[in-house]
Amino acid sequence: MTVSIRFLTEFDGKALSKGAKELNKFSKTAKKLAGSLGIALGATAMINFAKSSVRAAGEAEKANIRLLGVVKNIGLAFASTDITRFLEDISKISGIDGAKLAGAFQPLLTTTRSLTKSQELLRLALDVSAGSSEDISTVTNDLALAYVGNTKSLKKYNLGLTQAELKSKSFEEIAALLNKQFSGSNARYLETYAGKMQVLGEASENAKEIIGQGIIDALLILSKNTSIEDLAEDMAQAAKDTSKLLTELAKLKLAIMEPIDITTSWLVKFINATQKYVDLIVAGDPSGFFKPPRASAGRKFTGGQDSTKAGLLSKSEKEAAAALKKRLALEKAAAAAKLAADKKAAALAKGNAIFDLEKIGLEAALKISIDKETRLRLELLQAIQLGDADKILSKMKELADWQKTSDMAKLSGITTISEKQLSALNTTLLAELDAISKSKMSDAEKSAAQLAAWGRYNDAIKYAGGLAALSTYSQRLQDQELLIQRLASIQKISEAQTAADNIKQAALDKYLATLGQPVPVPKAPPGIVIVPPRVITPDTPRPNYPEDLPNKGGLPGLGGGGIFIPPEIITNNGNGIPIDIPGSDLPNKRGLDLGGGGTVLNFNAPITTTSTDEFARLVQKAIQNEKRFGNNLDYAGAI
Amino acid sequence: MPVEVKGLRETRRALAKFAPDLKKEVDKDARNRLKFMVTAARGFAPSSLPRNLHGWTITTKSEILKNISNLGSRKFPIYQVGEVKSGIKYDTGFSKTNPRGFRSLYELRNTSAAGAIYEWAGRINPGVTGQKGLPWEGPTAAPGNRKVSHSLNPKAGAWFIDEIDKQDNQRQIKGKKEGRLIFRAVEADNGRFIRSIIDGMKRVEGITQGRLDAIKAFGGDIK
Repeated sequence: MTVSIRFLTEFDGKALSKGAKELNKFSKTAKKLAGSLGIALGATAMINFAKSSVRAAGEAEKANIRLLGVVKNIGLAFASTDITRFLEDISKISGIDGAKLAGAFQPLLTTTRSLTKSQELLRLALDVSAGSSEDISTVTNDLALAYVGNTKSLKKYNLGLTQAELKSKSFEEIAALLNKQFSGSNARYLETYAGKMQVLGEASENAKEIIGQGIIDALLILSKNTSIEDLAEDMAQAAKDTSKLLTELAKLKLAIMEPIDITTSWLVKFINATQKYVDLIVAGDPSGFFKPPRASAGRKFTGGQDSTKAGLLSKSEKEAAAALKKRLALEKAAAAAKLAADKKAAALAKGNAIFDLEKIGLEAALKISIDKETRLRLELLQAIQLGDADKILSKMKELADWQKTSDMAKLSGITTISEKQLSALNTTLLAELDAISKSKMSDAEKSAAQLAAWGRYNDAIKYAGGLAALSTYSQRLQDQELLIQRLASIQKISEAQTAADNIKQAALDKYLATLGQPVPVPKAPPGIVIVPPRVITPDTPRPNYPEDLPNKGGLPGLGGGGIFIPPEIITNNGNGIPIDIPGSDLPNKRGLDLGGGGTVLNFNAPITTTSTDEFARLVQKAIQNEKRFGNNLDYAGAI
Repeated sequence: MPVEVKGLRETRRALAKFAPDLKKEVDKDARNRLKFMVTAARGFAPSSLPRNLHGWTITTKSEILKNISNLGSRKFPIYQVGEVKSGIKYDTGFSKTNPRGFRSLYELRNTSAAGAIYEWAGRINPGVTGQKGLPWEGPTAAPGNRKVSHSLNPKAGAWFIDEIDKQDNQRQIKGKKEGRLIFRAVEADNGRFIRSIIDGMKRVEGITQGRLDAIKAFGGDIK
């Protein structure tokens, strides 16, 4: 507050513009306003109030435009007026800002597309919001989501249902649950002091929106008047004097905003409805909003009023227990169902495993089988197991063709294996042998696998009726057959080589072992005297051999210069003819002394080598080795 | 009634353009006069208040009183002589035109709230008509209503005014043109300030006019 004395003043007519003249005019109006309000109004505060009024009016307009746009888009344009009036009523009753309510109502409209349903849900949302302390916009969003089946956001309302139970319920059931839990919450909230102030606050906001439409111009002019600055009070102080403010608002409306008539009845109703609360506020006594607390003695009562409360409490606890029991029963049933499902799945898995075993068996059989017809049958079984219809049909056709071919062959009197069959067998065998040789198995395993393949091949040929003369087959098949025979011979030769090596090694080991040891005398059959072997040195007298025994011919000398004479079998039949040595048809029955030349060997097995010469060479070599190193199969202690 | 002059701004513009030294001299003289009045006004502010007004000074009670406000967000102004004296100022240069279209060249101000209270206490209801101080309503009065007394004591306003008048040598304030600080200083000046300014302006006006005539005579531009 400034007290000032001015010296040498002059009148400045030019600065007194139209605005200033209006300012003068408004100064009188403003003073009249201040007088009628009973308080002084500061220019700055009035400006602030005016600005907030205009802002409130602008925001309300924006929200309404948005909502009406949505309403038009969903085809409810005819109900725009009803919607606006409905929202205004709800805003007045609940004390929620109109713009906020419009924003909260929008998702309900767009989801349900029904005005009635949206209104019903908004009322429900008000109760839920008041009861759960959630914002109204949040509640309406959650309801809109639940309407389309998304119940995840309903968890925060603590309905006592699990997520699975919420999902299983329909929207109507959920809405009934929410209604049951929160019904009346909004009404109870509005009875509280906070609720009443909310209503009053909204009323003043609405007043701002209305006032803001028309008063701003005058207030802006007011702000340029320094004389108004000398007035002490601001609008915040004016708002405290609510009774006078609300009463004078009607006069203000009459004075300033004549065109707007709709607010009159609203204001009168509002003032009438809220006057008693305003008086309480003005008097500074909020106790009228609350019910006085009931005195408590701090003792526990078994009867009286508290028993009702206890009864209600026990009833609610019973209901809670029943609900819990029901939920547990549901959970148990769900667990049992899950267990049954798991068992079923396990059985199915087991069945699948068994089926897989069959698959494994089929594959094993395919590996060991070389017969074309059997292979076809096994492949057909595989296709049936896989459920590949195209493959099944193709294999069936292939098997039928094969059977037809073999039947035809049988009909035409062919008893041996046909060319086609033989070709197939040969192809299979060669492929198997190639695979075995390329595999990473050990030599012993490879050898065993090859032997098995050979065995199957031979069995297949035998089963098919045996081989015919090679010349009856095509050149290609003959070449194939010869190759197979070569491979077989190599196999046998390697086996023979291995056997010979083993024999050689064993013999060598034995020789080394028997060096320096007396040679054991073999047991002679009855009537036969075996002369024990003796070391003959040059000084050793010659034994008294029977004259009919031919000269042994000498044996290769040993390193020590002595000659080791094997034990001799002397016959005593006197005819000079040695005893027939079984297993040999050698005319010269002198044991291992085969001598040279003139020996004929007859073999009953078919010659499978490429040529008899080579085979003979190999046999000769074997015999020579036997001659050199002996053969423990015949005479013991050959060397 | 403040002295109304005409053509003052134009004269000062001419002085600033054609006789700045004279303008400077005039302004210097005016400032000296205003300083004298400010000094006098500050001298009229009591350095301490009587015992009956101790609640209005810096004490424990007044500290509590400061926090009790029926003026909205503003605190209750406590009398502090330093604050009061420093709030008494002068201003030169043309002020803003008021709504009535008047503006002033020189101004003497009492800007502090406590200074304003001391300046004008009892001005509206000096007791001439029987009502001394604000009409009493007491604590039940509407908050912010400054046309009534909110005190518990119905005679608080009258007592306050009486005590202040005792300080002011029983000088009673009876209207808008009276006061205890700056108004008293101006009263004590007895118009000498105005007269000196006017005399000074007339003097320089003559000199400036001579200069303007000389310039014009020699063909210069005086626009």
